[in-house]
Amino acid sequence: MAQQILIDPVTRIEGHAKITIQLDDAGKVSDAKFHVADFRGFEKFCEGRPLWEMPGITARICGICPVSHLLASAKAGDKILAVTIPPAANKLRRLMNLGQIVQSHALSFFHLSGPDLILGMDGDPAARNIFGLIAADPDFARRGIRLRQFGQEIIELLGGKKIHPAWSVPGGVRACLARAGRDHIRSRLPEAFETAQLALGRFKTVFDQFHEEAISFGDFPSLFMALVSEEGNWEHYDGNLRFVNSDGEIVADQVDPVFYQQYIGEAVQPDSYLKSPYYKPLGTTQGIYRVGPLARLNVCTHMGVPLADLELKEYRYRFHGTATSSFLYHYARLIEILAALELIERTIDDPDLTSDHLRAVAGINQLDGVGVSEAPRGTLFHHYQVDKDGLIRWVNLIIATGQNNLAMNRTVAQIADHYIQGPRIPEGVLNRIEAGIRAFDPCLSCSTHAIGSMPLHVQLVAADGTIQDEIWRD
Amino acid sequence: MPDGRTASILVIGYGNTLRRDDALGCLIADEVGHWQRSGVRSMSLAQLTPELAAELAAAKTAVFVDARKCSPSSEPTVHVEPLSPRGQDWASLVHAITPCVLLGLCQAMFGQCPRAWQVSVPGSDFSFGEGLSDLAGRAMGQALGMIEPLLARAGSPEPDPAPECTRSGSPQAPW
Repeated sequence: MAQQILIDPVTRIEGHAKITIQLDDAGKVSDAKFHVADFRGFEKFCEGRPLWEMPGITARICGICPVSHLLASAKAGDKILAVTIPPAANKLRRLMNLGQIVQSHALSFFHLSGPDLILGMDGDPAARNIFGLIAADPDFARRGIRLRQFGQEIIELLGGKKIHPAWSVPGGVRACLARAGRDHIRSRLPEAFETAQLALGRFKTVFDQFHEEAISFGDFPSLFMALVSEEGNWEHYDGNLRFVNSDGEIVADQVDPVFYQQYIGEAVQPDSYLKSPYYKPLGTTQGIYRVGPLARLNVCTHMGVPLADLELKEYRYRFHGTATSSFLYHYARLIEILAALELIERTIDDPDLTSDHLRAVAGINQLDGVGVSEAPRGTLFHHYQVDKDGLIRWVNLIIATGQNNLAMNRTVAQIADHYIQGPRIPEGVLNRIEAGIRAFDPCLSCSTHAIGSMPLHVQLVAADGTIQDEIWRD
Repeated sequence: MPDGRTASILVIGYGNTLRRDDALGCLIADEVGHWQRSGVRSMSLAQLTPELAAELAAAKTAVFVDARKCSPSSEPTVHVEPLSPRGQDWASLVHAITPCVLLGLCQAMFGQCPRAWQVSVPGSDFSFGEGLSDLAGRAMGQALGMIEPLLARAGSPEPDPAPECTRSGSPQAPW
């Protein structure tokens, strides 16, 4: 008889989700789904709010990556004001985003996925957590905490607080970096570099133990999308979109994010609040694409900073150009931490950071604005339409985790198909399925904003499994 | 690894400032910050996060301040409880970290953690918006009145030993 395996909740991710795996009569995996049952509704309840409130409101979407929303929202606001923000504001926003990348990636690698990577996928479930990691390697765990603290401090020193800083606004930012803050950041950089390089070395050492995972954790051809600079280099705040395929061929390049709707379609599924964006020219089946660290490293020509470029060279040598396994998100994340630290080091003594010319002041000059930046988990779109008074009339948010939704489903199916043999499912296999999702570092609180577009499918199922009645709401 | 932003006494207020009385922890931490007491650092946070363990490791005393849901007709009784580090019930360090788990993380990671108290301040209105209910407003004053001598004693050369009680608000409180 066909069976369903349910993992609920998925642990060590940001948010709440469940996974269902459908087995056929022969016990083989026939389908797998990653469901997000939380509902948020930001796209709807922001309607009617003043544009200037949007960074503060949308930052509340998430406690892990509020900065990403703050920046994308402020950038959408810049477009509606039709201003070029002062150079100091641009550099300060970039600095905050770099702090965000460091803190979020450190959380993902050291605390959420570290227990799997250091203690092993089949380790004792009771100890396979941060406390187990501390017991196994206290210095490594401590360094991870301090690296995240460093990233959070950058955010706090700029925005006044670590979580939900109301600092970046349409037209610029509210405050510069105080000299004491600049000195503090500079003083902590050496330890942060040491930790990032230690983690990279550690990952490379343990990587060979994860050969099975590397070939089964979502290793499939897909497109990859991220922002790149004018030169095609790694970009985290500005630039244009680039799509590449699994052979490394550029499918679309230097796409102005304003035209994202020509390239990205948004499908909805009946069993999840997570939207399923796809590359529109290829449709939902062929248009699956991935975003985030793996994609950013696949789409960029260079990182643009020396240490990370060396790491990128080795990474590409190891994986023959384009890395297609989602397990390599971890590796890519560590290279990005290094790149972020190099850019922080390069920026920190720029006199503009302490400038008091921080904001371009203007009224409503456009009724439509798209703001895009690279959140730690991938490309983030905020698209607003306003009336002539600046009141929000329509909002569309495309979140990194949503863009990885189709790839996550495929990853779960591939892991299940690879590891599940027969009716008995060892705990380590369940953990691998969760770990496959964790590799994407999904942020579910961020990614569930659609309202009014959630088809509802209700089934009345008898004890013997037969469907007695069903209702669809489109 | 001292980093220049450490203090011997940490007052950590946490909650959602846009859910009325849930802002109590943050408002109280902000008020303590205005006292500008030497050796005391106040932090007003949306939630507790794992990297706070690094800050706690450098502190001798920590006071966690949070709102507690009560009925509007309740007496504004502030509870003060000593906290012990705990690591066994760890589930997630992302969304649901508690002061005890945070202390446990600090202890496990740095080999030490500060003496710590939880100050639970009653509130009755946790709906969307800003501004405190009558109950929370009165309780906030009481909480500040209890935190002030606690900080004074924690900052003295020979602070009192950790309190034995589990709940306070009564005249028998050790501070």
